[in-house]
Amino acid sequence: MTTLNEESNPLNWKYNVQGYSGYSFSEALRLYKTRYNDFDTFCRMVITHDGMTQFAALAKQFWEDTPIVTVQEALQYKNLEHRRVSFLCIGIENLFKALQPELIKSETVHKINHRWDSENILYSQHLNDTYELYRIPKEKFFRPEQLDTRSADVFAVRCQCTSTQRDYFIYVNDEAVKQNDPIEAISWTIRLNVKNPKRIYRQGDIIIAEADIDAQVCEPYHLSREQYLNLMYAET
Amino acid sequence: MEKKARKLTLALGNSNHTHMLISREEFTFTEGADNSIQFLLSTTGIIQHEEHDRIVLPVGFRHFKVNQVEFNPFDRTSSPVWD
Repeated sequence: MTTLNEESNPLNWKYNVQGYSGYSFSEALRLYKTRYNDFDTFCRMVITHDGMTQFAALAKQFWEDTPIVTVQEALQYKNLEHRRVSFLCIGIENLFKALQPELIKSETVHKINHRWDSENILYSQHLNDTYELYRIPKEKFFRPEQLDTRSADVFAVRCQCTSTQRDYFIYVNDEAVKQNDPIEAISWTIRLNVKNPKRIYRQGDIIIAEADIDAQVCEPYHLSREQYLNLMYAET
Repeated sequence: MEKKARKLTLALGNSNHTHMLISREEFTFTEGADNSIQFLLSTTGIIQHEEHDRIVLPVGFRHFKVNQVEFNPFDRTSSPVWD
């Protein structure tokens, strides 16, 4: 039985990370450091209310000496939930570098992109945007005992931000890439909640659909390849 | 519930960056499921971000903001990309 003093010590608490409960202080801190890299980002994303300041103070004390979770380590975890949380915290870019995925198909699309200058004057630019579809065999991603009928190969699309020139990997549903089409894959990552959009704008990871004034919200749906290519007006 | 603003945070990203909608006149907006927001501008709206170039939105339309989504291979669900 723990005393009140022990219970009030964050070192003795159990932590919930990414929806999975039961982590010790050191386990939770490793996962948070793996996910957020630096202490300031960790504080901003995790320490969201006053009740967590004690935890934050202790985390700061141990932050520098806490090792991150490696891909090799996460692959050894038998607990599927723990593995899921670890993979999420490691991030898809690091995971894909370590697991060496197979490039299924690459496609370059010529786009006329729209932008605005500092005076908000519209101009257009021609650009070639390349999308790559990658696959990790399920045997590399899941442990043998986890390979049930629900497990499928894992797919991700690689794309480049037109503003920052950074590369991104985004997991996509295997059901959406049956044609091995990287454009279909990136289209799947856009899920709208309005019918008949006239145009689509993308700024980083936010999407704006432009529709008639009387348009109403509908059940969310993923864009098709044709919708993506025809409706995308501006990407920044 | 419909609200009014001249400045609205559409999303917070990594590294304290913000997708911010700004307009000279008040616009109406409604927040929905999965961090979605719909808004109706009464004059031009500008979406600013520390790293991404601006987007200028016209009046005369209803706009619907959603987040790009990614797949979770473990539970086969979709959730917003965390940028």
